[in-house]
Amino acid sequence: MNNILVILPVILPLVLGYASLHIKFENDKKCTDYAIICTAVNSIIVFVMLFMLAGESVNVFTFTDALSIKFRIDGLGCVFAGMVSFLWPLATVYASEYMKHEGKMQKFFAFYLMTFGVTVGLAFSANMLTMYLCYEALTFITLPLVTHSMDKRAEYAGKKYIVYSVGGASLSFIGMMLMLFYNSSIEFVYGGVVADGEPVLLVAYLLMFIGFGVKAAIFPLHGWLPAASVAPTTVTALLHAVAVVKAGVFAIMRTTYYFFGTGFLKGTWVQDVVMCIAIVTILFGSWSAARSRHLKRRFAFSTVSQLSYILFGVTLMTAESFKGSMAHMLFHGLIKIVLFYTAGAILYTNHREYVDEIEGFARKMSKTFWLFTLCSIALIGIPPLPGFLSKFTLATSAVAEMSADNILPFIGVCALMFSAFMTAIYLFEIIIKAYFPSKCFNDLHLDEVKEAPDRLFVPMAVISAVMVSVIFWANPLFDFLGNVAKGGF
Amino acid sequence: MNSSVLLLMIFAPMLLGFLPVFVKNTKIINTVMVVCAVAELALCIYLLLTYNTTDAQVIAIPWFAGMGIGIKITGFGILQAVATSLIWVGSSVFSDEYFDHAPRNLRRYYVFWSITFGATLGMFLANDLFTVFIFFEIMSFASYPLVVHNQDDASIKAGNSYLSIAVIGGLVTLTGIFILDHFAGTVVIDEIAAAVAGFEDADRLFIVAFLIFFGFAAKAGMFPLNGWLPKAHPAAPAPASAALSGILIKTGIFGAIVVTSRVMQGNEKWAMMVLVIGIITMFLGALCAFMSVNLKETLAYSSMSQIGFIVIGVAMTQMLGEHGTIAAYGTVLHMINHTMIKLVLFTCAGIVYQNTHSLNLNEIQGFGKGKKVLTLCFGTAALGIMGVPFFNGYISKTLLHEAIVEKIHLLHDVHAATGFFQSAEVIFLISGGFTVAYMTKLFICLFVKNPTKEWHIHKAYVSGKTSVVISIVAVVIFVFGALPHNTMDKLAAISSEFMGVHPLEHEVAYFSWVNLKGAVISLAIGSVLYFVVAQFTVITKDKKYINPWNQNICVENLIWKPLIFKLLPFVLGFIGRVIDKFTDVFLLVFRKIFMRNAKIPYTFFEGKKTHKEEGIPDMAFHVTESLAYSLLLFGVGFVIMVIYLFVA
Repeated sequence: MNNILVILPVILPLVLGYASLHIKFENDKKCTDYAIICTAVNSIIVFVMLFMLAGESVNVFTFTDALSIKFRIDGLGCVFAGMVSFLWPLATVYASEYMKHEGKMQKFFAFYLMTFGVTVGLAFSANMLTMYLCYEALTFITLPLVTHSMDKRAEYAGKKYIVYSVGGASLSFIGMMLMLFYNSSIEFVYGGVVADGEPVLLVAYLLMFIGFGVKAAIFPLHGWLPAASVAPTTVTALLHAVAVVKAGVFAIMRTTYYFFGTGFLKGTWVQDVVMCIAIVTILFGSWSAARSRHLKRRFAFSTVSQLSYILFGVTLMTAESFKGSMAHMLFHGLIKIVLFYTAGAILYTNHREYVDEIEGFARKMSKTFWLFTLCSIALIGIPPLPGFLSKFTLATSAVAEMSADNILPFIGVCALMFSAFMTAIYLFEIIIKAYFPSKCFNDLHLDEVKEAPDRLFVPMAVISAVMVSVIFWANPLFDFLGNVAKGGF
Repeated sequence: MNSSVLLLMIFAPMLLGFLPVFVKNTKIINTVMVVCAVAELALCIYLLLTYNTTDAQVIAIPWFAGMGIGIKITGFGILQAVATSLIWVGSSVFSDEYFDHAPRNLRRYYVFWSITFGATLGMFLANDLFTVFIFFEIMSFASYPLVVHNQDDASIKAGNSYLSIAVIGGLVTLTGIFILDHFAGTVVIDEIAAAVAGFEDADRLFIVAFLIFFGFAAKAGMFPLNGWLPKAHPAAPAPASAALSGILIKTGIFGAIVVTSRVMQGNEKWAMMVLVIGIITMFLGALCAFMSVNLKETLAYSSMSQIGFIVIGVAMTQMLGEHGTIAAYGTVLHMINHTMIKLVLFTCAGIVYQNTHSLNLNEIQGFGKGKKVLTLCFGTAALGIMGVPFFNGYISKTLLHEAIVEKIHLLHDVHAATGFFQSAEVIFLISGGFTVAYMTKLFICLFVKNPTKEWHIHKAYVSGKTSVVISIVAVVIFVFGALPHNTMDKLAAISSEFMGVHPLEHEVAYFSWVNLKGAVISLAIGSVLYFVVAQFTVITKDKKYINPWNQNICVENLIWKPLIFKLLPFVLGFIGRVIDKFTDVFLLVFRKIFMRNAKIPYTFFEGKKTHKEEGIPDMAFHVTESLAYSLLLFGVGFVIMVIYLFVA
């Protein structure tokens, strides 16, 4: 079904974002209002489309029979686009307050808006070429956001980000070309498009996994993510906990389930390799997070580990584990963005960045720390909050894959458990410091400490509320995800 | 039974937890809590009295948290629910006066106080292991703020131990639960036994059972996961200690029973393992309690020791098979008895603390002299836990003792070796002796010795309502012990179905000489221990109490802490750091080769409060100017050429 409307939410933010660079706003408030309205409108468009135009596609441009730029709204894209579109307007509200402190608003919001379009484009991509282009575009369009402050640290982080991402994408490109060479189709079809199982395609899959894995911060290619935490918190929160890193994960999901297909990959050596990568990253990420004293870097490392939970589910290559992966992608997005936002709120209102500096803060920033505690508990995976549900689905699907001659899934389960323990350590440390300062702690330190302003607090509260409400509609959600994971819609 | 009433029973306390958020006055909060607790107690007792096995139905909430929860009334569950509400009533009443001297953060305390109780009730009434797990986790985390309530160094440390053991235990148990789900296809408690019956791979099932058991064992404070218990229970405020010691650790026993009687039904090896754990816990707890010089620490160790007694009962129930009824009765009754006894004892300890602000036996000695209510209540509870005839502890300990004796007889009949069980019996009696000794020590210290100093007691040393509550419980302790056939036997019979045994066919003659003998031996050992051994070890010549045990020697410090904080971080950290830098160094070398004059960018190292950036050591040393590059590049090209030649 050809429907040109599908491309609207991809193009609209790009146009509006570009236009905003050339509009002369009277003051910063007008600029932020413009950004908020644009993202809100685009989000509404996306949501309307997810319900009205599901399954529709549009062929924008055809190079050859096999190569074309094509967008389609399918189940997996729906999940990703839905999550992003829910978070983007709220993130913009948060940013409108937060960026007062960083300056250069107009440039920031222009790129912020454009990134939205590219991310939706990535979600709706119908073939590998389109996704590859969006993936590259995402790298470049977010670069100004990472290097926003333009000091040396930011410059360094930006360079690292570019080198890692572009290097990774080149590997994916090789993989795509190999597929084109052997199969002459790069469409996304559930179950994969591999016609005859050429062994070299397994290498192609590994290349693509590693290539896209750079954005998903797989070990040892995760280095850019903690470094990029120098960016303004709104960027780290939305892009480095949700949009960009989940784009990497999303690309791997596409590659695995819709491009190569699990029928081809399952049981081969390459599955073991990628699963090992995921397991090692899980352990490494949470371990490094526990070692890190800097709040935002701690959360960045935590993201490294949580992303690999999702990848672990992907590499198990069953419908059940895919379901768990998607669920964890959603829940981790909701949870981690709030964690970053609380760190941002502490940084913005009180200029503290290190774990040791926030002793006793809960007394003054009680609302913020309530949300922080709630999301920490959810991330650790304590029932009945949603983090538990997704991890549980992942773990049960791993156990179902376990057999006497394949104990790798079981090792993965142990890694999940160990990582959950580490998660508890690095999050509870903060909570305990904030809520239960030691007896010798002097309350005078807290005189200057203020509660976060409403524009920072409200987005966090809304996201947390939605996250908690999942408890009550988990069954329909999981049914939907299960359906998507089986290739339905 | 109306299902909504049952759900309300579990969730009302949890909802009540939000009351302190809106109401500022703690007196009002306390009153509401007490009223609610009494209503719960009445409801539980009503359910217990009207309980019959036929109309037990499962109440499921399938939409809750994805997997749904299932609630079912079992005889055992409702009995424990009664015990839980009893603790809740007693401790809530006592909380009111206890916190008068330190009302800081009191509203926070009440929030978690009621959530903990709702979760504990939910856990005992759960129908499947998922539900058990959900409530177990809520309970573990909600009780953490109770442990660290005082926020001093000791309680924060204790809280850390408590939290880590709760997290580790929870995770290990969860792993076990879903592997079991995979093997058995069900986690409904009543269906597990049938589902795993045909399972051939006993070793794997053993591992699964062990994983599930781990978390519950940690919660119950079984050896070697006991390190947190003697720290956390004394660190908490007295009403919370009563709850922790009285009922929260029983949730661990509940889990142990499920694993032992369902997953590993009839597995001798498993029962033996549990038995050994029980024996060690029982003896170690009693020994440590004997040496402790802190009132609440003694009681905490005592709880650990009593857990050992109960665990022995759990194991013996399986070992005796068809004859397991007495062991099952002993287990259930000892759980109930211990709850009542610890409620009284910890409340008494709280009364001592709120007047003297000390728990050290040397400082509080003689406090209770002349205080009649305190003396009577503490004395009754002490006699109960010692296992003196006509007090409730005697009945349950006798049953547990009988179970071991029965096993020896059974082995004797088939001419098997009985050495192990005979030594188990000896350790059992010696531990009973230690119980007698440390309770005598506490009693003499508090009520017989003369005070060494004056305390400023403002009002009465205890409020009227608290003394009424503990007096009632003390009376129950006596009535249960004096009329076991009319009271305790009936309670035990209600839970026999859950324990997987037939109800007892004929009454046990509790007060026959055969059964009295065990108690007499224990009392004799206890007297010797206190009046002879203690005078040389834990009591000095000038009548001071000392603890001869080196405090640093404990499993936690010797094994767990070095393992978790030293060895693992070193090994994993080393590997991690090497590979972590791998990509960066790779890029750096590349950069030096292609952009040789560019300055090396700096990076940031983690460290405590490192605000300033540090530079990477200059790699230029390794890949210096021209010649080295040329050689390197030449070498790379050469290698590629050689490989090409070989391949082509």
